[in-house]
Formats: sequence, C-alpha cells, structure tokens
Amino acid sequence: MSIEVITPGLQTTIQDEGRSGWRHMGVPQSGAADLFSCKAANYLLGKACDSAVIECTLTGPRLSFLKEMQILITGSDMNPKINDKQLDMYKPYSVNVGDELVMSACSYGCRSYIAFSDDLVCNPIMGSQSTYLPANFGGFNGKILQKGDIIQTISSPNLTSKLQDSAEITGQDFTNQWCLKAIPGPEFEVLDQSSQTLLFSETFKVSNDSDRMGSRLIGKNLNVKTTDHMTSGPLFPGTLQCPKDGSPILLGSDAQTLGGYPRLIQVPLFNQHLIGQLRPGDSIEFRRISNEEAVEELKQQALSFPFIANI
Amino acid sequence: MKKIVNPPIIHYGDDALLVKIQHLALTCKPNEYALALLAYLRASNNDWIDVVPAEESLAVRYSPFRLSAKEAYSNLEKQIDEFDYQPLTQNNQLIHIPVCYHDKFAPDMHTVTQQKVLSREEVIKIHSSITYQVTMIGFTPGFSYLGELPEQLFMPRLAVPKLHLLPGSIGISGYRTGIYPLGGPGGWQIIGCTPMKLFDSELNNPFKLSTGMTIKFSAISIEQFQDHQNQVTR
Repeated sequence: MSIEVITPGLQTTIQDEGRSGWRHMGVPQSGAADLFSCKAANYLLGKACDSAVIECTLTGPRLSFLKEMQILITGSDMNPKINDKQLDMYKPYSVNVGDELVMSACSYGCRSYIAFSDDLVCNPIMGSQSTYLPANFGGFNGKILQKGDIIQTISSPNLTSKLQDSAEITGQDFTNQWCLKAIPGPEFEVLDQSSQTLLFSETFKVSNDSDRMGSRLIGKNLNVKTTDHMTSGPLFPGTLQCPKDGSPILLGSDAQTLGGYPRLIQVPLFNQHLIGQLRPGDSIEFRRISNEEAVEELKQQALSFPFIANI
Repeated sequence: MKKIVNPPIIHYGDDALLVKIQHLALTCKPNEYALALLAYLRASNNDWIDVVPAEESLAVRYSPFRLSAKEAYSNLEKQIDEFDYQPLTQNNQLIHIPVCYHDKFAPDMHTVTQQKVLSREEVIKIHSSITYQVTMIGFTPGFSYLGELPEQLFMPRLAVPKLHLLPGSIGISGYRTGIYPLGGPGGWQIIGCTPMKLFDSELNNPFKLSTGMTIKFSAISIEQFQDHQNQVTR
C-alpha cells in the first residue's frame, strides 16, 4: 500500500497548501513553492485541495508503485514516463503494481507536482503536511526524499473527479525569461528616484543562492538609503527585500516571517506562484501594477481556474 | 491610554495590511502594544489568516476573495479603534541559557571587538551579565528577540546575510540580541551559540521560549558545550 523512492531526484519533498495561523511564532507558510500547479494537480484528480503532493525540483525522482492508483503531474515538464511510455502533463494516468514513474530534468521552470488518487500518509505538524526543511519537520520525517524511502498511502475517501475539465488546463507558458507584476512595498521609498526606475526596468538574473526561502537576484545594484538599525518587520512570500549591498532577495513559500531589510515591492497573488518556477540562471523583470489591478487580475484568474479561490 | 486617531495602516501587497505602531500616539512600548493587539485580533476576528507582530509594527493577512482591500482596511481600522490596550500579564519565569562564546561559534566576535574597542572578555561580560525579556518571536520557528542590549554592544546588521548558521547561534543587532534555534540564513552579527534545544517540532508545544519570559545567558566552555550536546542526544 505504498510508493517506493528508487532515485530521489534533486530535492523532492512532500508539500501541500502550507501552514497558516502560526506566523506569529515564526513558522513560515511552506507548502508548494508553486501553489497554482499544486492546486491544479489536486483539482484535476478530484482530490481535496489540502491533499499532500510530491514537489520535484529541477530533476525529478523515479518512483515505484506498490499499489494501483491514479496520478497526475503539473508544473514544470520533467519528461515523465511510466515504464518508458511518455506521459502528458495535466492528464490523469492509472498506474499498476510494479509500474515505475521516471522523471528527468526540466528545461523551463523549476518544479513539478505529482498528485495521487490515494492520500500520502504523513503526520500534520501545525495543521499542514508540508515539509519545512530548515527545521526538518512536516512531510516525510521533515526531510527530502531519499533512495529507498517508502511512502505509505491510503485510499482517499472523498475523490470527486474533475477530469472533464482537464482539457481546459494545460501547461502554463514557462520560460527562462520571466516578467512578474509587482506592487510597491512598504519601504519602496527608501530607493532614490533612479533606483525606483531601475527596479522596474532592469533585467535581473536568478542566482545560484536560490531555494524555497528565497531567490537572490543579480543586477545593477539598487541604491538603498536606509539606517543600520531598521527594526524587523513582517514579511510574506512574494516580497522583494533588499539588504544594504543592493542585491535583492525575492521571498518564496518558506519565507521568514520577520526581517529587517527594506520591503521594496510585492509580487501579488496572481503571479506569486511563478516565484516557485524561477531557476538559477533565468532572467526576471518586474512591471509595476496597482493594488486594484492586481486584485482584478486575481479575480479574472479565478474565473478560469476556480481552484485558486479557496483562500 | 490615549485614544488613537487615524491609525496609520498601509496596504502591503494585495492580501495584507501593515500597522505602523511607531506612528501611533502611544505611551507604552510599541512591541508590548503589538503583542496585546496580536492577542486581541486573534481572539476576536476571523478575517485574518495570519497576524504577525513585530517590534514596531504588525501585519495581518486576509483573503482577497473574501474581503476587498477597502473592507479589510476599514475592518482593521475599526478593530484598532475599539482595542483598549492593557499590558499583558508578564511571564516572570527566568530561563538560564548556556552560551559558548568560543571563536568556533562566534564568527563575528572579532568584528564586534574591533568596532567597539572591547576585549572578548568584556563583550562576553556585558552580554551575559544582564537579564533580557523575550520581546518578540518570529523570523524562523522560535527565533527569539531579546532586549534590551546595552548600548556598548549596538552593532548594525550584516551588509550581506550569512547563508548557513549553526543551530543555537546567538546574534546581536541594534538594541536586540537574538537566538537562532535552527540553522539557516541570518543577518545578525554572531557572537556565540547555545547547545540548548529551543524548538522541537515533536513536542505538543514546540516552542521553549515565549514572549515576556526573562532570559539570562551564562558563558560556558567548548567542553561544556559538547557535554551538553552529548547529554541531549543520549
């Protein structure tokens, strides 16, 4: 009644929609770095939206099924195959006992999500099954999946198939050159005029210092006029904060809850999931948008993809 | 308590609001107000997915599918208006935390002694001679902000944050000292490390420290640090 990890891939973890209600104790949201793809996977398979999925990073795992079930893969295309048969993304497949799912490396985007008709068995910590690696809790013993790990599964009691909709949700247009919308943040004004303009025109590069907590961006240095003793303030996923060295950090789902660097811009919800698809070496630009426009875009997105609206 | 007029609330992205407490006309310490407001908002309202207090501000996160930006703003404004600040009852429990200030655990000690023109012994003495209050929890699970640090040890944040700190690292920044219960990145100047486990997700209450507690550091040798770690893992 389980799934065996034959090879783990680069950084494969169990995730879900993340934790809420614990930020006042320093506990980050965690959950899928690309929430859109995670929710799409569960939705298309008819799973409850808070079901746990497997998140794969850059290079996916090889999994052996010890029980028959259905699977569906979304997000970045890691060329998934079952027993050498090529799979389409965003389409459900039945797997039999002994079948092997083999995923390789992706060229566009960074993360894939595998949803399962069975429920993955892992203890929720503070209301979520998502893995938070810095503190090693949640998911599979708080760790990235290793060769030989066996993930127990149980039949899901409430499967309501939405497969008829699957034709409408196909892969998103992943790229190596991203353009994200952003709203000026609480400390936007610590940038001088030319740095404000630069922030919305410069092409930054995603550095190798990138993980689920945040991506360090490389570009022309922003001129941050700030005092050394700015006290720590609340932070959320999607915030671009900038230390004094002028190299900004775009925060992801494991973002710390408080921080002392100026919060320059905020990537709004309708674009935030794309942060989870940034890969080292990609380029990224920011385009200014107002709060009202961002909410309007979010509502438009929810008309096409109702599964994003459960927050 | 002075009545608050026009609370300085600003929008933070499309799903959060930020209260700038330092701009309110208050007679109490901003962080004490933040903690009391946190308790009030968490007890009285379902609008907020998360309430995040900080030293001089507080943020709430809401669902833009359930509340418009205007509604969220006016709801929060009304709540702050109705909120009658009472100091939270202090938790006077004194916790002793052993700290090893050996070079191995104190990558920024040299910078601190140079900039402050103090010897290591003086830095250790100043840091471990007084008691601190836990003024805030946040950043990463269980990270504790302690105050107030004596002015002789005020240091700026690092211009470039470190990527990998040891669990238990003790840092200083401005008028705060803080404990990183987990490894990972951090931007404070690190002057020591405690072997004490301050966050344990296996426990019903994973958090050893909570706001209001009183903390006293005691300097230990590197041998004592290792003994302590061996005892814990045994």
